[in-house]
Amino acid sequence: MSNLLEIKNLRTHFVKNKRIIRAVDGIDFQIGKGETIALVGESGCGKSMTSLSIMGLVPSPGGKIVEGEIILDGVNLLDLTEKEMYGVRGKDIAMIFQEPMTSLNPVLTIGDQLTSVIIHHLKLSKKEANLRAIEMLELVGFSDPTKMMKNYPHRLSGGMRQRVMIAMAMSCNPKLLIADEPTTALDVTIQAQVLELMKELSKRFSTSILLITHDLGVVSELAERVVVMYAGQIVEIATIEDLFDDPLHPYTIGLINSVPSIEGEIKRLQSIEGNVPAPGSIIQGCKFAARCSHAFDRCWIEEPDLLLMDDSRAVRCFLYDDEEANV
Amino acid sequence: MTLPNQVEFTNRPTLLEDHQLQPHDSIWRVMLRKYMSNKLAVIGAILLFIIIGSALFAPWLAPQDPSKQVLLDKLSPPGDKYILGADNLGRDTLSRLLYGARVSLLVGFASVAGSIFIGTVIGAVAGYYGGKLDAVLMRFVDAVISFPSLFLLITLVTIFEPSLMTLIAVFAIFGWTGTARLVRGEFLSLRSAEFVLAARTLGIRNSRIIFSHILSNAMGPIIVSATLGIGGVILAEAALSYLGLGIQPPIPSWGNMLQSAQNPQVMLGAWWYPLFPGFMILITVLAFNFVGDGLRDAFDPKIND
Repeated sequence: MSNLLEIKNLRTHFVKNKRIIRAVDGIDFQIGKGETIALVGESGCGKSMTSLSIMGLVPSPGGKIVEGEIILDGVNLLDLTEKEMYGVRGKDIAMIFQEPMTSLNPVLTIGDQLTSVIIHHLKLSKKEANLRAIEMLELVGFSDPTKMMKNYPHRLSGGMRQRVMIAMAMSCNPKLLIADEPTTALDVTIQAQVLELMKELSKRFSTSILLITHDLGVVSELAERVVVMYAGQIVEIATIEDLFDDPLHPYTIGLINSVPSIEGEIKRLQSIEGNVPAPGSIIQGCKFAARCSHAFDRCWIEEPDLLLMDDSRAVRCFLYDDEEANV
Repeated sequence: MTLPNQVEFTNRPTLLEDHQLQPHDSIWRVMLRKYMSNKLAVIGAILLFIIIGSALFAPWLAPQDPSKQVLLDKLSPPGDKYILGADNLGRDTLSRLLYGARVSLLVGFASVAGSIFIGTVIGAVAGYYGGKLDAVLMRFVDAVISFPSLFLLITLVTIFEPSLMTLIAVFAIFGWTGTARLVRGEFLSLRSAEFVLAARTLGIRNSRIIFSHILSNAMGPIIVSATLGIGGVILAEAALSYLGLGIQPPIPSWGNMLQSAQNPQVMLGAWWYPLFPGFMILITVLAFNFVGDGLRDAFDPKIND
């Protein structure tokens, strides 16, 4: 599979009160064409900053991409001017958000919001854009899209709004859809519908999806590969099967153990001891060592590198470094 | 494979319920209902309707030419010939009030339109971009507010002839600071709204986000401040006219009608002469304030009807 998006050594830093916060601290990963990748981690681990970095919308002043490349279809997005990025956002990369209740403009109709995006990117006439918008609304499951066009967002339920957001994001046929916790704010029944819809649409338009979430249930539903982030770094990359069958990094194991399971005997849920290190704190050695039950001397002194296990597997942990050395 | 929309039809009462509603009714209906529940605001609106209507139709409503002087009839009391009396040059007060309404309202509307425009652009840019630009623009606003504007106003009006245009320009140039602060505040809170980020991720340009997405959300407070502002400008025009620096005779404005009546002998002897223009100013400003308050409540989503 050829790569649609390659992120190389991306570093996004924030300066707050003269302290540097390394929100994204050197991450590398690829997304193939049509592939769905999940970016998993606790709050504050840099997931959302990664997505905003890809979008070129790092909050400024304060935030800045200091290093790295984000290559979409052979073009480094960081080399583009702001004007050129206007053409990328919404056209090549689109994004949907966690809070469907607030991510639509309350005073514009659904139709206005949809058509303005379509007209901007596809350079269609008002009439053609209308048709396209209606088509998109139908595609995401509205029974009467023509009427829906004239509605204001406040009359829609959360699930309906998230569908509108998806319609908007997909309206210009993006190559990559970034979904930032797309189902977190929705009811469980609606969650399933929305996930199903995203799956369906990504298959239909062969859109790659970068799914950002902390919900491993959603991950197993949608993703093919998983990137686990901790404190701004990638700690493990694995296919979905490998991740659930044989998680390597102690943090990943902790994450999986903290998900309640329906099958098997009822056990006490495990949680990961301790907290995510405060943003901006300087940690020697492995960033996870303080919470890791396997930590040994080396972990406190040196910082582990991301070890490539095989083509689709990588982990940042000394436990596996020793194994490699022994072989 | 079942398409998601088949699940949709059967399982989603919200969708079906939505079909029974008329599109468009909600936001404006709710606002209208809230507005109508405020008695004073309704009275204000009716008054304004009458005042603006009679100003527009002044040529047809006025019984006489407002500048026709009949010196023999000077200071005649209200009666058959002059419904609201005549002034010290024997001009019909009612006719002058009607034509004066045109001038006073024109000054009010035009200068507020100007100041709202300046204030909105500066406030929007400052609030949306923030940072240094915001700091510079807001210090500029502080500077303009700190100007002894009344004296500057008087000076400006003296240098440039006090015509309708100068008055409007002067009021617009000094009146925008409040709007700028208000709009900046709205933009500061709205720019971090998720729908703004969502719009940005869809590649919508900053200019469009500012003037279409955010401004439409800030329209309520802007309209309210404009409404209240018109009342303020009418008062200010009256004050300037009273000093003889407003609209110059023979063009009637409510302010200069009051001014020509300020002679105490005239005032005591002919009570109708200062009373009616004063009363019109009072009523009009009051009506604008009532309407402004009503609009504020109607636009405020936190106040339920």
